[in-house]
Amino acid sequence: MRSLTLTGGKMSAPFGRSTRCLSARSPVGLLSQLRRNHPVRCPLGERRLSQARPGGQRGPLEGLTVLDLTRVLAGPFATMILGDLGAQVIKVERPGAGDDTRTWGPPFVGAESAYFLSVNRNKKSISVDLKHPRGVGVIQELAAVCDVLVENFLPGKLPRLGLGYEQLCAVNPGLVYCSISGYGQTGPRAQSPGYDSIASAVSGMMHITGSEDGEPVRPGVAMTDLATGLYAHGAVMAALLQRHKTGRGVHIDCNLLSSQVSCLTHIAANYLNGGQEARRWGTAHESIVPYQGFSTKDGHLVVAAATDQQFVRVLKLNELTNKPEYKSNKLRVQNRRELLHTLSQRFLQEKTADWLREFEGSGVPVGPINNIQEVFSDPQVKHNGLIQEMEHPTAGQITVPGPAVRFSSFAHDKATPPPLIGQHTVQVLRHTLSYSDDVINALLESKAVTQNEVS
Amino acid sequence: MRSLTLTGGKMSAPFGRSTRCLSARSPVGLLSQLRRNHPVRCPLGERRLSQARPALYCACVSTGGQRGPLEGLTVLDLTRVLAGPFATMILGDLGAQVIKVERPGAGDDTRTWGPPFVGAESAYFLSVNRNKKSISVDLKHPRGVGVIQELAAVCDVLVENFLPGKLPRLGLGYEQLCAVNPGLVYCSISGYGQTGPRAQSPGYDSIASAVSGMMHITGSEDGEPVRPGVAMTDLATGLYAHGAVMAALLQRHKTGRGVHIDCNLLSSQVSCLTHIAANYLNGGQEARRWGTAHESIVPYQVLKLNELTNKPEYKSNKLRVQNRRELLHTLSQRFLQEKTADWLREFEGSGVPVGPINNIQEVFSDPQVKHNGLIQEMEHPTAGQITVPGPAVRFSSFAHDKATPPPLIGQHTVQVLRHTLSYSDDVINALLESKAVTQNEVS
Repeated sequence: MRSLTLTGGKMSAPFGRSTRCLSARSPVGLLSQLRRNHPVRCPLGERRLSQARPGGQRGPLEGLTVLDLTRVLAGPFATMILGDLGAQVIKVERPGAGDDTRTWGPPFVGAESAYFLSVNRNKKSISVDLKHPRGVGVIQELAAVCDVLVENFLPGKLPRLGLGYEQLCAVNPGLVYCSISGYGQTGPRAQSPGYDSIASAVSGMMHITGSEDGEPVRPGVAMTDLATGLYAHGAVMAALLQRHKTGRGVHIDCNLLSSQVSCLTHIAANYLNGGQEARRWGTAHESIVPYQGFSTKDGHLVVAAATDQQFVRVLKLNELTNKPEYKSNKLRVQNRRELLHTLSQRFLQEKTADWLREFEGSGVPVGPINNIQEVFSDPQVKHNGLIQEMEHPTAGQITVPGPAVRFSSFAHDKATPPPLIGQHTVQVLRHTLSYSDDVINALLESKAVTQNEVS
Repeated sequence: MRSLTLTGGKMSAPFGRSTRCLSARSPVGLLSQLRRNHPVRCPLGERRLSQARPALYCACVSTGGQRGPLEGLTVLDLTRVLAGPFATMILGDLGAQVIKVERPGAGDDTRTWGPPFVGAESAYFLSVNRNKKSISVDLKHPRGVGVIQELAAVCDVLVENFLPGKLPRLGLGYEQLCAVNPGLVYCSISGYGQTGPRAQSPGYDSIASAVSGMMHITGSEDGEPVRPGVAMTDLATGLYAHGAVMAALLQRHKTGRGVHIDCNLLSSQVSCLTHIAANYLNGGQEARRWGTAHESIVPYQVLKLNELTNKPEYKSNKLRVQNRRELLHTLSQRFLQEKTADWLREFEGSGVPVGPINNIQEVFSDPQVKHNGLIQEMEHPTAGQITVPGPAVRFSSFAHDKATPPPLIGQHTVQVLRHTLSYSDDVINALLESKAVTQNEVS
């Protein structure tokens, strides 16, 4: 990425009269006002709030700006959802490598890692060196005009740079500042870096996942990270709702440990109230039989028992219907080993697709254990818009898993591709901070910020 | 639960002048207005707005009171089991008033899921139902449906997890309710979506986990697929839903209108596949199970096995990935030789991320877990002291110190009819006698 010099176009001087967009936010300090020469709350690009866009169905977070200092998974996942909902997300990346996941692969699509692509749509990237005081200055200025800041540094790191909550909310009292960490902002483990696999282990998730007689395993995707991102995206919006009432922002503490422990729900309550330790059950359920996966001739399926008669009839194992030891769920739980052995043998005799056909209309909940190809061949998955294609400026066509939630009030049809590193540095400095060309050039030359060749 | 007859106290007639709380919501239909005789947007109980003020809920200035972000909002909760109740519990943690609608008799299915029980309360139910009021209403009874319609007219949010089509057939669908309350945020949670080929399949976490690919990628390297040990698909859906509801409330500030939200287990889990999905969608790379390992990172810190540090085949991560079997065998043998606590001590300060695979007792003995407020104790009216996992997120602007215990079934039926719908005693008695609604002995 080479430094760019801006050419052409006359820009307003950086120090001019402020004409702020009115909003629910509290007034911003004088310094920031001096630098403003046109309204800065208007989002960029195709999401610009328009005058008179007839029938335009805009997302719930249109008009809001998120300053995204996160990297890897939990944070980017959260900010991606905010972007899906219409917020402008400005992703801050360090010069050079940027977000770690840009190098996580194969597979790559062109030069873009599939990992990075999967959780970074609908964001702009600016490349800023936080070790450079002018770089820090840019972030401080951005925090003064953004609605939300999300970060996942080790607690204490950003305050040392002058970018902590206390410091930034002094200039922007309406700032919603969401911190994501491994274990929390305070406490004995606060300085432990947050890794999904470690948090998954420490929080009990691994202990309860795995086959009955086997070792603990991790969920196949980083659910602890993802749950944290989901908690965070909700917390940010809760804080924005509160700001409507109070005009003030808040500091939010999200962390992997708390997210996963909260998600233990009944597993936790069993222990906290009954002293009952948890164990691994494979695909099975502790107190419902049969309710688990079975191997078939060519794969696996999962069955969640409905009524006794339906289930056994389909299996053509009539001799089981009258066995007293399998008559009720309670009895089946008691006699599970023998019953499950019989059922396992039976399921092995047919293919998955044949079993699914047999069970259709029986009222017995059943489904195949799909591999990823089968998932994305599923007509319901397609119907739900979970295969999201878009054009990337260098990688060409890319495909990512689409947003999970649909709203009747707007469509997810304005997605922008995950950005190249520093793709929007100049754009953001110019439009969000109203910097003049001179100021921008000076910053580029100092290497406090960098701009991608592609913009 | 026996029917209760109300005694004492003179109540206003049900048909009186409406003095609605002003809000960002659009005006409510005439029928609902006729039944109102005092502001109905005020939350109940200890969260009551300081009196007699048909004011903007946002003007509630409780001096220094640190109220949650959703104070003043009411959620009508028609969900049961896990995904929905988990979502509404978080909304309750954030200060919303949550009115949980349960069918008479059994109520929410999870009330019977156990052991273990605390007194007569199932630990399962207790774990995801704090900060809610329970009203017991028979949706098969037309007057029961009428109560829900009236509540939907004055609530901000409705959350439901019926099979798509079921509630519209009862007159409780989005189109029907938003005609009366255009500001209503209506969040539907289902197994596969409101429309599409699988829309009529009931939503079970284990099935959705299988269909969505989650089970395929979870399990030991050479072993069978397994489920995550807790229903993460349900929980992820609940988390998506709680966020979506708040997004819709934010939008309502701008537009005055509500929305219909479609959350479902399939979409939630498939979206959470993130890079696993992208690997396939872009690179055609099928996923597999890795146990506790990571596909492309192999632990590099060698523990007093100096002979390994100079082996060229372990020099870089890429090489260690290629030679993983042999390296991991060596490491496994070495780890077996010491206890977990000793290893953790050894690794302290080394910069290597490491942690124990804690069982549940160990989780709740962890000082950080305690510090984060994840052990939440409260008094339950019949079960006595109960303990549940606490809220995951902390805010600098309020404390989670006003939690109310999970309710008994129908514990608040009369309270809600009286305060939220302003029904008179006569109307309430008639409803109780018709069995359209029921009230618990305990209130």
